[in-house]
Amino acid sequence: MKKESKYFLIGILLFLFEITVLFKLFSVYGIYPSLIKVFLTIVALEFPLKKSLKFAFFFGLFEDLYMAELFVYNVIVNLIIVYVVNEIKNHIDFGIYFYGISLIAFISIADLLVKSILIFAKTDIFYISANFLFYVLLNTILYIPLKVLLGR
Amino acid sequence: MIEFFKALFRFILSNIYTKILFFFIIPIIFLIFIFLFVDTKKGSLIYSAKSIFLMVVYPVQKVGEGIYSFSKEKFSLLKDKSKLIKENEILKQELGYLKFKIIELKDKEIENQQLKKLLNFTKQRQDIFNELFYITGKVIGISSDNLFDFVVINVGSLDGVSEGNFVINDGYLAGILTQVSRYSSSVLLVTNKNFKTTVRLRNTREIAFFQGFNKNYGILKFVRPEQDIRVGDVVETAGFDGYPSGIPIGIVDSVDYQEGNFFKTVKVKVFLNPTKLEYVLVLKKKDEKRK
Repeated sequence: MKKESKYFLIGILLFLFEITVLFKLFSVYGIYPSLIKVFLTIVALEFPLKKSLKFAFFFGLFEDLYMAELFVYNVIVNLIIVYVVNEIKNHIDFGIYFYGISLIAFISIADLLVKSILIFAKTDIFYISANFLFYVLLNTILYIPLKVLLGR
Repeated sequence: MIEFFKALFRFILSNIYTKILFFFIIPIIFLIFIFLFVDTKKGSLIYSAKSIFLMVVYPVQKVGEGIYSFSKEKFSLLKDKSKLIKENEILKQELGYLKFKIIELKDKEIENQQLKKLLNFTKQRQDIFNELFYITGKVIGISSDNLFDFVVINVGSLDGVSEGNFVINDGYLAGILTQVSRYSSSVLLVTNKNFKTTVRLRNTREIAFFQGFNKNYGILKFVRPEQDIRVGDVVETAGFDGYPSGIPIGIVDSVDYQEGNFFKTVKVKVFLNPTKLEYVLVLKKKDEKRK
């Protein structure tokens, strides 16, 4: 319970940091990383499925309440991310940083794809640019500091 | 009957695939259904919840932005430039307003030229710019999603703004207010795929439908083959929604048409740079102010 509360609190701080100043500090070609997606991947590696899904739901809801116009968009993406990580984690040792970083890269691409499909369903526009590689790169760069921050 | 459901439930729990189907895939499909069809417009429960959430995060964003600006300024002090930065910020605000005024005058010029040509000229159309006032706002937050552009500004319902007000940056249309709370508001940027508005081309005066596409481009939709759309022409607001016409959005970048198609494909390079937004002007009608 203590570990859960600690993660929850750190998650909220990361979310507030993300929506306030992150884009001013870490933006490359107008693309900025998603601390919450990296955080949720770490959560899914640390906690069992049921607890990870709870985290995914709540942080997705926070993101959606903040977003203009869209609703349950991030909830769907986060639930899928957490579920996929939980399915993979039993087969690979993610204690090794290289595997962890590869997982973040994979999750970032999956995140972009799912979001693009959802936005296409809503607006009839499907768009993925090469610039989004910076999103994958920035997320992988943030993985190690976040892992250290969360105590491992 | 109860026995049947009990047996069904036991079957679901015993089989891993049915478990995934019932406890993951079906809820996800249900959420996608909500995502596609739920109403987030003003008056809905979700709109109210979002407004409350925006109000809750406002102090954090304000403090965060304050700390960032403060640190930025102090860091600059070391280089003995803080005075220049402050002056620069004030000048940026003034520049934005002046650029907007230039556009206002240009629009008047074109309008006058056209009106002179008309024999049955009537004085029905009043100068719409005189019916507006503006409020300066500062960007305090941004979308947490790269695929969905919006920003949060420190202007809210207490300042008299409301949903649908136009937001201008450097004389160009930046977006419209979509979510208004007491102290802050969300601005749906012109680069957002959900941003749609009726536009006019400055030279050919053709009317079209603009939709955001990505951080650099927008598209004109439903452009018929006979419409005169030229590369380099300025895309500006049409003024159908009670706001001034002639506010530029972008410039026509390419026009493609393949024989047999119903519509032309028109790409518009937008003037706005979402990552460089700092100060904006919120346009409001005067009659709204009186309310």
